[in-house]
Amino acid sequence: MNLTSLVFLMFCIIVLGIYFISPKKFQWFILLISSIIFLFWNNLSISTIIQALVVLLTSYVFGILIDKYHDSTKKSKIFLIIGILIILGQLICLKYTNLFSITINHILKLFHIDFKLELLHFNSLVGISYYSLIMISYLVDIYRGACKSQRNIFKCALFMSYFPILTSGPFIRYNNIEKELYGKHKFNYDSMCRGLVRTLWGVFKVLVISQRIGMFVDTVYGDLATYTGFYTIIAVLFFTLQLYSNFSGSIDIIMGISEIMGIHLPENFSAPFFSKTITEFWRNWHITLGAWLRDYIFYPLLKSNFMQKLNKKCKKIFGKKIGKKIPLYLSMLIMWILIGIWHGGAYTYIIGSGLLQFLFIFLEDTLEPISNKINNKLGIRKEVFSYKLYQVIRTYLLFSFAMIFFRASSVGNAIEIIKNMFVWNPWVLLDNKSIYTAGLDVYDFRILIISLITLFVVDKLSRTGSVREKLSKQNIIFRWGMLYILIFAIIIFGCYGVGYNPVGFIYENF
Amino acid sequence: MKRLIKSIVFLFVFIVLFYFIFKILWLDDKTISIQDFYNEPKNSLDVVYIGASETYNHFNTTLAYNLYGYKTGILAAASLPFPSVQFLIKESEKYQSPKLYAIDLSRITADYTGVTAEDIRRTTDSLKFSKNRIEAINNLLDYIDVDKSEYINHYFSFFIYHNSWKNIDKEDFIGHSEFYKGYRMIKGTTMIHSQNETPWNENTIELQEKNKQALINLIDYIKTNNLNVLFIVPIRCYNETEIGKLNESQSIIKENGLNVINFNTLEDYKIDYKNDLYDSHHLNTFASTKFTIYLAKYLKENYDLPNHKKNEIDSSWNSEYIRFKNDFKDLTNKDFDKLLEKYSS
Repeated sequence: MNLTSLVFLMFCIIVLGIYFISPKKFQWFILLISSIIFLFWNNLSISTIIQALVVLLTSYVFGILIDKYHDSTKKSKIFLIIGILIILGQLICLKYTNLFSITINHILKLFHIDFKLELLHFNSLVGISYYSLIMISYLVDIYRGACKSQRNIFKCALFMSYFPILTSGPFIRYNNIEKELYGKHKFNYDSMCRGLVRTLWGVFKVLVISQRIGMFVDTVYGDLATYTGFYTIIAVLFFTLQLYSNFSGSIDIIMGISEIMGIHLPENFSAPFFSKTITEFWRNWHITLGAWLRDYIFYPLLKSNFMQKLNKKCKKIFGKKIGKKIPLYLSMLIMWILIGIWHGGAYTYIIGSGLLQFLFIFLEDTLEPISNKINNKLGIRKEVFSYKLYQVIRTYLLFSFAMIFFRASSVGNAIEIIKNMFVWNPWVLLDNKSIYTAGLDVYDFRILIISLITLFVVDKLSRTGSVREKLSKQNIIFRWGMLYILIFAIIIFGCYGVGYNPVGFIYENF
Repeated sequence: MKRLIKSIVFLFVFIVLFYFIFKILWLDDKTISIQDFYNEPKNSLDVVYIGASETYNHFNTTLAYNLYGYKTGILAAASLPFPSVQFLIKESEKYQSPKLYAIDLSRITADYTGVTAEDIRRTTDSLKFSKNRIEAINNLLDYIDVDKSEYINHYFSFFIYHNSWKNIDKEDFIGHSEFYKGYRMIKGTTMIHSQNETPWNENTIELQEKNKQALINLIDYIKTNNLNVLFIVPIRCYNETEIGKLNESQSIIKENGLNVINFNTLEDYKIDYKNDLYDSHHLNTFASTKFTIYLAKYLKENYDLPNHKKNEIDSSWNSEYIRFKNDFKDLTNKDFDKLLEKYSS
């Protein structure tokens, strides 16, 4: 169910209607029924039911067991490991079997062995990567004593399948959302208004910006022989913006709908394109995934016996300063590889959203002293606007480069795109016509530029506090005027209906 | 309470803005003649003429009014799929009680596989939102086997027209109409394109099943509702297959006791295929005047239509006739009254 489709709109209206007119003690149950409908929409089969039940029953049963044997650390640890292995095992089978097969096939080919593992296509449920990780964190949190296990299996099912987050996240934590998810919510006019504004802003990002950019990017990426040079450069730079507007837009829709129901989800973005380094960028991009990996992978890994021993050894061999960095970078490398794998069972993801990101952060960290020395010698001031702008642009360019792999169909395809970027054809920008042949005409470009400026102005304003709060303090004429502009911008300039091929949510399949 | 009022005001302003914005964005198609029908007062039309582009291009309703005083409404669109006719009659019944329905038969010859969703849109998008419109959409999309998932785009037309902001021009704001009470004057660089005539014959060819069913349904509807109907086979160029299908249709209509007039076989009405046609399907404006003179007289003589001009001249019909004459002069450099005198004699 596409988040900007009429079907989803109708679905939400019905759910919200029933949610608020039903007795408050049943509100969570309405959400559960809605989530089950959403989860199995167009994908109801024995296999998908089993997939969902495996995760649900594992987290429910092992959650109780971990809780029960909380005093006996050993037993609860065993239950935790079994629970994680079952959930993770299913996720790996369904999503990453082909990555394994591709790797084996490559190795066999390398040794000229004439054998090929067949690629398998499993019918997995929407949001499986999200709810699997969410339920793993649920088990870990019980083990750590951060929360108690849920004894009502239906309530546990709701936590696992809460429908707004199934398509694109954000990652939720049981102890943070428990009260609101199962709580009683009265209809609140202000919450509804705030939620609606956020939802509309999300729809604007998706339909007006992301889908429009998608028409250009798809045209260029779909015909690499025709579109080279500056077409490719623009498409590469555009794709990052497409990804951001699509992903953050869908998060806005999800958070807006939840807010109407009185459920507050954690923020997933904080104006990432104003970040000065890749490290800062990832603190503002897919925040909940970053936090999840930090809390459940990075820190446990860094604190593990193996890393502690490695730390000691490295300090002895390389000295204190360098030695302590080695386990840190190793943990980071593992974490980034896992981020890449989580994004999809393909090497393009491992390189694009894993290894390259690690490389950039590693270089930022290791080259910083050298960079500082050069700046000092050349008298370059770091506090001035121009230097900050340079840093922001550099971060954007580095991230966009990595996203070539994320968007490409294969590593070979990504390399072809990179090669294409070096074809010299600046006239396509100057002859006033060529650039308009790649899916967007002059009118679309105008709308896109205005929309992107709006997006970045709002993002910039959001860094100093909620834009909706700022708007709510204005006079009614200005407030309504802005709202009407937003609504009609979506209705008139949105890429939907006849003649448009909805791209869908880029993060939907994760 | 204050919040409820605020919400209602917000919604009201939204609806008003939506209405005006979409009026500008709405389909700007010069090949649809339906809006003028809606503009007429309730139960004021004497004849409703339904059909394809031959209808609004051939029959000058303002001239018919000027000559005989009866008012004709037009419900027509280019390449109108034949099953649309029944839904257009139903639409007409909601607003008018005409003494006669004139139905253009030419599109019964069209192969339904050649009818496009665009052809359907021309008719259905112009209809006011109603149960009849939904039924028309369902029926017509089923007629050309469109996937059910596409239906939603036809129910809510702004799914397509929201995108017409790229083509907005001054005329969209001014609202200048090219129609004169449903009639549209052909404006070409040259109004004459010589055509070759295929002589009419008596051969019959079986109608395509879907078209035959649409005709049978239409006849049933006409009989059930006791409507007075005249089927018209307009004059233009036809090929052998089309002639055969039109002969077959006429037989079915006559077997059911309904009237049909074939302009291609009349003894006292002929056209000059070298000078009277704009293209193979349409008469030029001069020939459409001759056609109107003939048909207007035929309807007056055979269907007891009232002469409203006897009592009081309707200013809107009169002003549209004058607007037409002025535009005709601008276009052709000829005085329409003199031309009318010549053609009438």
